[in-house]
Amino acid sequence: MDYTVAALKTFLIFFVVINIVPLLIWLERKGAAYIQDRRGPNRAAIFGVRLGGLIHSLNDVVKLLFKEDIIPSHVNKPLFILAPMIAMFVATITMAVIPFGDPVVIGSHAPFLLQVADLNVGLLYVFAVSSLGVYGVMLAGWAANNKYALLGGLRSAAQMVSYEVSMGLSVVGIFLMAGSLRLSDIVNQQGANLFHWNIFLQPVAFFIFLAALFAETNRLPFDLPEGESELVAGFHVEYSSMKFALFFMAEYAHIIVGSCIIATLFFGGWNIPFVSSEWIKMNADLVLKILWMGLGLFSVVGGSLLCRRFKKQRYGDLRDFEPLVFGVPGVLTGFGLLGLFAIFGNKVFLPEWGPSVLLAAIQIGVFLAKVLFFCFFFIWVRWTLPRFRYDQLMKLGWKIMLPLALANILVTAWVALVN
Amino acid sequence: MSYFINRKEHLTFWEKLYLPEIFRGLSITAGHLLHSLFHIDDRMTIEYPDKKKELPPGYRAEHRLMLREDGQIRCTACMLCQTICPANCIEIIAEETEDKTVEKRPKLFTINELRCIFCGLCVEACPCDAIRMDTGKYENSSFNRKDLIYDIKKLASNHPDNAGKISSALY
Repeated sequence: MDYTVAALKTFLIFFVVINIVPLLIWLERKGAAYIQDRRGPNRAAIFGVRLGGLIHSLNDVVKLLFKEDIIPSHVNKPLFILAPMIAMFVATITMAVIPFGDPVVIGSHAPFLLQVADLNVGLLYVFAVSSLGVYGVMLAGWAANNKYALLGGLRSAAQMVSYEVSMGLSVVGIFLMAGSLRLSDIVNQQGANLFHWNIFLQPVAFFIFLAALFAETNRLPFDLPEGESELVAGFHVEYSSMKFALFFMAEYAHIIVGSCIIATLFFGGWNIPFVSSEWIKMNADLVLKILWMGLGLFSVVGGSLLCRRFKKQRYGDLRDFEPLVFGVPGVLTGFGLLGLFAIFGNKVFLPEWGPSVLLAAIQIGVFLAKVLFFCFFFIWVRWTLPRFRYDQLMKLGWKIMLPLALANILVTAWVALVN
Repeated sequence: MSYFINRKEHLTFWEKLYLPEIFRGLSITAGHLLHSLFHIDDRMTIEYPDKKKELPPGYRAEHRLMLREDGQIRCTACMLCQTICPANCIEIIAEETEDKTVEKRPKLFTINELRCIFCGLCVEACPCDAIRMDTGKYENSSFNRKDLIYDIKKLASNHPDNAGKISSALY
């Protein structure tokens, strides 16, 4: 029974990650375009509905699935096939210990964990697994038997190993504060008070961790392993079709996992600022009504804003009606929700298990909102900063971040000792 | 004499801290993002196949051959355009014509649009306003190369929609 539940949870989390990936790719393209004052992808369409370029992600999937999967004759075949698998596997397996909310307690049943495995060495597990990620990149670079790929793999190995050190050291301060490696303990220790979150208590650790995370995920400004201008595409230069797609998905899965870890460690996980879980549980009816009203108002306002963009003869074909596809149903559902609220608003009473489930739903929502914000932050930084030079990268890692992390540990330990 | 260029970076202490400048950069990109988000229609780019940019008056596009008032091609096969063409993309073979005021006309007038560099020298060279590049057709793409080698028939009918086919120049 336990194993079935765990398998279901695993599948659900994997499903969520896999579905956020195309969304992130869309956000990356569209965000890049908007930052550079362009329009971004908006051509692919289904019956004239373009969803603001979201269909392009669907097209990518079809394209990558149906392209010829080329294995060059000069590669080390077993490793060449293994490398993308390792990259994707390692990127998603870290999600196993991320807690999405407080354990749900219903009546006298055993608490239902909102995470796959509540390890008491959770954070160590995260570091152990994420440092395996370098194998995917290194094996890809080595097995491809190509000088660009090899250079990309080498750089990646050097970069990941150097930044692993300061990354690990930067969170030691958090262990010292929480007294535990269990991720749910770290979240509970931060609590609902905004100023007790680790971002305010450990700002130096946060910035070191953030920079190291960018290096770990091979994102700009640390994307030397795949620097297009000098290495073509870096470690995945010989890959095509679905094998390339696995690397591509692994990169975005890494971003999601990294955002989850940042949200958990530094931004209070599932906690809502200044609103404690007990208060939500006590006033479940009120919270439900506020959410109900809010959703209705949001749908009406958002839908009518979309409808306002409708202009006849803008393009002179089906695309004119595109804003209405979401605008009209949005307005209708919004008014429907508000009408239902007006009729039944005072007669709805939550069952006994209601408050716990509502709380869990809100916590998961808040956590996902934080995660999506950090995913966006990754994209935002990518289109702001240029790439580091290799020597600058090493200098930043070893000469600046490592001493800062060590100093941070000393100061935190001293404060913890005095208190 | 040897000289030395001082290329040392002059960063203030604030800039050497690195993080404040990163935040400044982030705020700039966020500003662009928000501006593009809320002012969707006044961005610089245009949606090309749907909307086309208005071409400037001197724009050199595909060639066309002008006609006389009586419907004949104006070209007198003087070979000036073929001679001046730096890309060697014009091929003319002349023949005699019954019209004694003209005497000579092209039997073959072929322009290889793939080879053409759109310099406009042929238009400059033409003494009788027979060849022009004002069609405004710049989307020359095709599935095979043959379609882009324009013969005399194609060139004489390659007129834009909003301009006349006839030139009433002196010669």
